[in-house]
Amino acid sequence: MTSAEPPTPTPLAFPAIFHECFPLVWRLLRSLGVREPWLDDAVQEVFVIAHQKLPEFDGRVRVTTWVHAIAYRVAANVRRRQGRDGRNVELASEHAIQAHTPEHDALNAESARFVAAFCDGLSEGMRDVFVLCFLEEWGQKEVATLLGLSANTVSSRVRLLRQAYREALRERQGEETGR
Amino acid sequence: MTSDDLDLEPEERRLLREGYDALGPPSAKKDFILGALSVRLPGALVPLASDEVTPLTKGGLGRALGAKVAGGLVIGALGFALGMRVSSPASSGDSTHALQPVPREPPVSIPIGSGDAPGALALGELDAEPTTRLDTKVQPAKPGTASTSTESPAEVSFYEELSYIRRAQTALASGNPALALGLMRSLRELHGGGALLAERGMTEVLALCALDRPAEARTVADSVRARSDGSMYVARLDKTCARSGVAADSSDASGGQATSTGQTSKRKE
Repeated sequence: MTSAEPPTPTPLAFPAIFHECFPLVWRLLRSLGVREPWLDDAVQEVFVIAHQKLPEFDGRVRVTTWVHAIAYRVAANVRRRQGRDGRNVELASEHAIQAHTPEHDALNAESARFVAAFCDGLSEGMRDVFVLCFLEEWGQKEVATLLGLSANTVSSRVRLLRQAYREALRERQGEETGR
Repeated sequence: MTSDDLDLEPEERRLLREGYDALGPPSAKKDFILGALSVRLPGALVPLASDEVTPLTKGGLGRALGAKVAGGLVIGALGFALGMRVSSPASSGDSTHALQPVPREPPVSIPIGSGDAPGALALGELDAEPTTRLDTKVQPAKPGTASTSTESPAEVSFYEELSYIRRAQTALASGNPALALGLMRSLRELHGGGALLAERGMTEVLALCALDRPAEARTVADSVRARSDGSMYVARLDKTCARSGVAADSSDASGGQATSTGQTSKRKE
């Protein structure tokens, strides 16, 4: 006789979600183009919504995936607000990385600057795919579902992004050797 | 599907990973956001008893989380209180950037899956297999079911308690009673007990009076007076809107949201 008892559901605590997801949410929002002056509030918005929606979370996806989906929508809204607001004066990457440099070694800060600058140079549609597929390492199918795109579209954007990323890398290496 | 499908060289991937990791938040930010959320979502970040916490990953952030959250809340609320005085430009200009304490109801509502974002789909439609999965199925805890102040097993250190009070008093002095009240209530939710309960009550009374909520102030004042260590506060309380001998207006007392009344006009402060 096999005991096939379903696993007892365990309560999912909001504090645990916060601690697990905070760095992910922060990075995701920054990479998706939320500028430094909006970042604190955007992160808060994500967790306020997560708290509000937690009773509806059915556990069918990873909680991090669920929170990321919320963060993606918050980022989309904040980007629209940023565009309207006219305070879009500086690249989040530059401002934030400079501000945080003491906490990172120079090499990592340089890598961060490169990645952030690459993201900043992309259109919104390409950027979303780059961040979710290349940085967050979501599967293309998940990304297609979240963004409301066909799998083919995501796949072709991934191809273009890979090419663009390699070109950017080559340029960067060329600059480094030229110094 | 994973990043393996991206067909990147290991070196290309390493650079991406390094750069992305370095984009993470500075450590102080976490405490700041935690403090802000503790004011916006009172009680939501109070740790559950350790055996109720579900690790979200295989590595498990597990049982030490409760203490970590508690510590973070204290530091965070302080950091948040400090940070509020130098809020970012975005915080001052947009109504959705609510850095005021918001009781229970979040000030923003992003319609998840309503089509608000381009190509939005309901979260429930995200049924694709994730790249890695939790070992166990989980079900959400009701946000309001976190332990209450009377159940909270955590003990507050004298220093932490004092820090909260000082921050609240600074907020009061700088004309931000809402923050002072939020700090005191967060502290109460986090730690119902402590060595400075009377001083906490006194600070809360002052904040409530400043917010023109005399009925609530009187309730708190009564509890301060009833404490054995509260006698030294009687004279101070009598200089507030919660002084003894002032009968509570019925509507004021029931609603707790009174605006200016005849009683408040008698305030000596």
